[in-house]
Amino acid sequence: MKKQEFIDLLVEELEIEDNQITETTSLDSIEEWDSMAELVVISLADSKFDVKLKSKEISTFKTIHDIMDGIGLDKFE
Amino acid sequence: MAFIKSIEYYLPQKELANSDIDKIFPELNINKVAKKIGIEKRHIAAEDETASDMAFIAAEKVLKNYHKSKIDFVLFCTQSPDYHLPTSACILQDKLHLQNVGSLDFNLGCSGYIYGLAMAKGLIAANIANNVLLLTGETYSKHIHPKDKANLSIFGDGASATIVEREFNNIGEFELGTDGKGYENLIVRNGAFRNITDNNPEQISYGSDNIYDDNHLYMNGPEIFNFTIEKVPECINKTLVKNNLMIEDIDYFIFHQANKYMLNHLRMKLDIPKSKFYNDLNDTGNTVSNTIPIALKRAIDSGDIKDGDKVMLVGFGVGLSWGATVIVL
Repeated sequence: MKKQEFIDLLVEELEIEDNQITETTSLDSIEEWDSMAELVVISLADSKFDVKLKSKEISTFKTIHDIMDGIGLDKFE
Repeated sequence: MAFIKSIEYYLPQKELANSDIDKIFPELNINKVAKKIGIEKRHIAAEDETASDMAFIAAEKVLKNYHKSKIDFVLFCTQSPDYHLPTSACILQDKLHLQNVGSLDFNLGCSGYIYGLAMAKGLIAANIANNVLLLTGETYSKHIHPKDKANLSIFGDGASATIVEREFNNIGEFELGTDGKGYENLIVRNGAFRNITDNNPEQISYGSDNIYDDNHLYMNGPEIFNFTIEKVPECINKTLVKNNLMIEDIDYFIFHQANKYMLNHLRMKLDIPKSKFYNDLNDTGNTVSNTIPIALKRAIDSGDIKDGDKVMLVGFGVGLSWGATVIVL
């Protein structure tokens, strides 16, 4: 999957209103990043990449890049 | 050899609507959360109303057109018993005026209805009972911290009553499983004998500014989600094999109604068409062991399930525990 495609998916699924989201955006700065967002990330990782993300691991993520890193950067173009 | 004769349920009168939650926690944006979890309101037991009180009402409803004397066993699934002891099922036996019955409680949550059906079928197959009254009743609202908005938004109270009869044979083979390693992901730590109730418990913050303490319910939602993603598909495949069925042979699926988002993920992962999949907890919330019997009753009443349909029932959650079976209506 292209990185931008993943970001678009995240923005859509999390209903993020800020349209300036990039790979380096900090998760803390995203208003919509809440505990429901964790479920969305787990769901995306499972359905699109067949990767299981543990809750503990997600809590260490600081940026959008960290989510991609958690899923596996080799899965992104 | 064992047959689900009839089902009734009861929801307590008091309601907690999203508009009420919005007033208490305006920062939560409950309407956005509600769209994902698929819940508009939950029913909440009154302060002096217990799970067994609600199960009693559901039982009276189901026994209304049934010869009470035929019931010879009461199974009551609850994690909110009246007392540490005696077992609440004994109190229910007396209130329901049932004679010559065996009675017991069993402590399970979201998988409880499946385990109850399995035990009822087993009791009948072993000639221990002929007609089992299977009750579920839950008041998680009493376990939830008043500032735990996540769990307040998800859970609702309720009770159900099912008669499992010896006639015919419409309850198929079961697949049951346990992973106690995950016990801490859904737990009330204090109040029993490992840890007694703490009079001054530390107030702990988790997720998006939710507060709980160890006297109250804790749920690690993401880890419960991971557990279901891993175990539910496996459990379904094993249940199909045991019943000599392909997934296409199943006319209708009723999973434990945990939340709409999680159910939708599972449905898509398993490639189940929307028309064959129950996904509605809009006016109840997650009622734990009651979701499957409530869904079953509603799907039968609405005509979504017809006579002769093969229906797969799947429960999963606290324990961690899971189970599934196929029934033919």
